[in-house]
Amino acid sequence: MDFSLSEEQTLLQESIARYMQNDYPFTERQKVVQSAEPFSAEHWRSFAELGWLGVQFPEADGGFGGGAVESMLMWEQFGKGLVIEPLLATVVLAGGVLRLGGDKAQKEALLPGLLAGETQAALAFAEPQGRYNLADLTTKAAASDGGYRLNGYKAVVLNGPSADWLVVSARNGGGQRDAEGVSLFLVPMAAAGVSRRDYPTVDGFTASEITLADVEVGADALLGQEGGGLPLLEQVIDEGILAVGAEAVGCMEVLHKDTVEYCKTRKQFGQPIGKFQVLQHRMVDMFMEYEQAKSLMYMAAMRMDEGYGPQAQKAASAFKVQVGKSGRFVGQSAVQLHGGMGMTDELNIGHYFKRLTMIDTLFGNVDHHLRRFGSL
Amino acid sequence: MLRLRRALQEAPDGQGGCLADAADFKREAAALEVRLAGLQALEARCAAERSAGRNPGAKAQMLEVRSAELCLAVMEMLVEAAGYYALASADSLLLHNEGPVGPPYALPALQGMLAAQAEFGPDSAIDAARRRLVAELLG
Repeated sequence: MDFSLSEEQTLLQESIARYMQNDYPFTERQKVVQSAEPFSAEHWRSFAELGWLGVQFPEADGGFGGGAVESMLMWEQFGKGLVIEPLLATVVLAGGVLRLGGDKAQKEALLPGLLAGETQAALAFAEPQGRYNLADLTTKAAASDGGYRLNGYKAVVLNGPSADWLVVSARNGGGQRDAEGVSLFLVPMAAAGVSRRDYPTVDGFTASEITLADVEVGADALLGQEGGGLPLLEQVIDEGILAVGAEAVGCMEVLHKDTVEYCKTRKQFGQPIGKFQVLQHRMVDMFMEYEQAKSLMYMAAMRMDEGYGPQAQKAASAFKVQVGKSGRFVGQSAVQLHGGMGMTDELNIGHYFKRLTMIDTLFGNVDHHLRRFGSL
Repeated sequence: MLRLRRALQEAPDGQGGCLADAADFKREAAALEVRLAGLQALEARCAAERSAGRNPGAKAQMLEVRSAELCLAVMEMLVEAAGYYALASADSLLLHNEGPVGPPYALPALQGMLAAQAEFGPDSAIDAARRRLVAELLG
């Protein structure tokens, strides 16, 4: 297998790494998290100007024409910087549905604003009763005046407070958990009948609970095939898994390196604590967990670029399982080896740990993906 | 543990049932109950020695180490049961008059876990001190 990067891929990786190091310091990130603003508009503009919002979109749509490998390289660097700008919700999730399922008119209407960094979007796919089952939907889409009328409740919609438009999964046929009968709709946030309850998430992002009450949309709001939205949603979620998984790998790299550095300098009983064998072994285990997750990350990206199907799905689930396990181990070890300092808000360690814990929850945890892997 | 039991009965599994009936959760919850039973038994032994006028020594410290570990494990499982609602920050409670975001079993699982991790996670400073004490008591 060829793991070498092309010149373009290396340039992309290096430019983001440089930005994270020079222009995205942790202290400034914390200022934004603690402010009333959900993210930095300035950074978002830079991301758009640098073309990062369009990395996975075809060149014909104004993008960079990259695939899963480019997305992976990008997200690994975002993980190191602990980026809080809503790239996942806007570009990967809502943007992903538009990229894969949108027709020409829908793309022409929404993509320019999205890629230019002028508009924000969100994917409203989860419901309180559904846990991680994408097909478990009580939100209904009924035919109405040549279009659709949507009614239902969507849980934990990431970036909801900032989104200008939503992609909503709703059922217009089949039973509550059937694979058939799931459709995806474009819904402007300003549409009559959409109401929101906004709140912060534990790791510094924002989310909303969204109620849809007799929301009328036209026939042109349907993304992809009527009743055939589940495969599209699954693919986008798997792309989301690759993104947040790569982000987690970036987090783990920082945690491992920072912990090794800390243990070299922190002294107890007259010597650096890194000299104690029990701590050395723990750091070796951290390294092995990180490398194992990174290996499955490459595998998942390559499988996805070969074409989306059961092999790519299995690779995504395997990666998510490893990210959940490794993330927990590396995160806990980093906190513990830093002693009581680990979870203080001033130190970045605790923030990486929170993000890793949240990533385990996103799109299905270890148990969920073990089951999915076994059933594929 | 009572909160966990209730949470598992209330949390949906996405297949029409609740987590308390899902095989993997059932097994995991049972394993935690066994650990709890073990600690209760150990605690009873310590109490019996104390009431007989003897010092339970290392066993009492061990009880603290193991209790901290179990507490963290229960918190972690509460986070798992909360699903996506684990993301909701407890700060959200302060912003709304209409009560917490998400179902009651979900809140605020993650913050509880993070606090437990910081305070008495395995190998934290407190845990290390306890272990040193156990080692000294064992001579």
